[in-house]
Amino acid sequence: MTSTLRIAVSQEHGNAPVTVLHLKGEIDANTQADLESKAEEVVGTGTQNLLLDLSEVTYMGSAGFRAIHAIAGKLGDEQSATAIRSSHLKLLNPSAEVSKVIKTLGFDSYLDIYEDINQAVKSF
Amino acid sequence: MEPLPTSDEQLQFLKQSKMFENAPKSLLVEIGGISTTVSVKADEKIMEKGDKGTAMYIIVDGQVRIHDEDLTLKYLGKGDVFGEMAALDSEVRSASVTAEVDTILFELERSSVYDILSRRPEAAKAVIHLLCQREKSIVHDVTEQSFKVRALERELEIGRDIQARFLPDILPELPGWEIAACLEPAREVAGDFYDAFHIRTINRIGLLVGDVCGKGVGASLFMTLFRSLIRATSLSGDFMGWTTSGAGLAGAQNDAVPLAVADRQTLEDSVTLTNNYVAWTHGNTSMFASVFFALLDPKSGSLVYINAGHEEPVIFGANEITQRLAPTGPVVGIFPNAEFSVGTARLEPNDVLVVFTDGVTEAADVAGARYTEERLLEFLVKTPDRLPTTLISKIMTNVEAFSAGAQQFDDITLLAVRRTA
Repeated sequence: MTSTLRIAVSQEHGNAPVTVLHLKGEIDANTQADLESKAEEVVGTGTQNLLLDLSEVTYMGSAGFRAIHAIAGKLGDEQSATAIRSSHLKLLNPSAEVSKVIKTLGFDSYLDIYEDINQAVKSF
Repeated sequence: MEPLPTSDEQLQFLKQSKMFENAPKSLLVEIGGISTTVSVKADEKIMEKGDKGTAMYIIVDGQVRIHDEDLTLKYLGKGDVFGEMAALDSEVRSASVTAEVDTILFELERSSVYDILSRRPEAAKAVIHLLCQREKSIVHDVTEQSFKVRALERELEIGRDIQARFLPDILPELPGWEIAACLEPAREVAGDFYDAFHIRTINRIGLLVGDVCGKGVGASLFMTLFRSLIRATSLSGDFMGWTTSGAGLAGAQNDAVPLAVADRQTLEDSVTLTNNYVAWTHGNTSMFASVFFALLDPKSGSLVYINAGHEEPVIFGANEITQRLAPTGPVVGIFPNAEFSVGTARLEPNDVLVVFTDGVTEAADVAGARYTEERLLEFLVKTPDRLPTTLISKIMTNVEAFSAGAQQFDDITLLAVRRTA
């Protein structure tokens, strides 16, 4: 069983520039490195705000959440003495199944989740 | 490209090449006559895997890399031959070749080679010589690879043995209680873990199941860390030789603290300390674990627990699920100062608590469909066996039957506790 993840990038402008990664497929141990390296690439070219569009993500395993935490760290959300809510990384439109995992793992307390892309972009 | 005139230097070179080292001079002259000299720049691709090719090459000077995308198979240098498989047998190129440095090649076209082969038995000998050498080198490479793989496997075996000892040898045996557990790693080493131990100072049974994100060697290293921290912190009173109950780590010698408070405090201290230790010390690795940690009072059957981002354990009675133990906090190890609240539950006689990892519910069949939590719960309620060992082996058999033929994707862990009286 080989999982695949396709990543398309778009640029949006709200109060600040926001890079959107549109993800399609499964984020698991096989594909998390693709997500991390793509995020690293856009952060390397100056992206400060990242929105992950999960609307076409059919599965997200713990390895995917590890990638998300690592990306938040790269965006300057290094968590020091206090647990903080990431202000530079947000999630868009996870499926019911993915939302359930987000909630179980407790990531909903640390990441803002939006259903509407315009609202999400404006929030940065 | 101009054909190189048949000079003494060229003859000398062909004579030294691995293919023609035994060929007579007259053959070398003829080969020289059909060779075209080709210069390639460093990093230039000479052939691409899958392409149809009709030429073979002898390296006059320089170095090339034989590769399959990013994977380097071999480096070849002066006097080496490549591309002969596609040239001699009308096959597509079996690998890509890229010049490592500026390189000069002799190119031999299939039609000219066949022409010489049809006329000169010595040429056929040279080709046979080349193919025999090739086979010898393949056997050598495969043998070497096998030795390397075996050495790595031995290392992993050692890792697996050591890791297995991070799981308890024996589970606590207490009158009125039966406890069983199993862990089936997806790879040689696992990121899942379980534990069950008696904390004498507060007379509670610690029940632990965890799942480190990812799998394989990375997850297994963190498995040992999480398991050790939780065990060490919750057993600190026992390790220090304290004989009385106390309020967790800070007030452990204060015997005025009632047991019910002591177990909550022990639980909170243990998970909080583990979380902050890993988040502060190893936060930059983004490694976390979902953890279910409970302290069971063997006298009353009451249970206090922290579910840190873990699959909801289930308590079931004769025919139905009586309680689900939902998360009371986030995963452990990446959110500093995260808050974990304490949940409570109770096991009545004949009740069974089953704790599992997502390796059970996400086990996939050959078509990619998952086992799912619904199927697990249905199976639990339907299964008449209540003996934890039997129950666990029946669940495992059911999951294995479901995913028969598919590769196990994640570690599978189950812990079952039954109150018999």
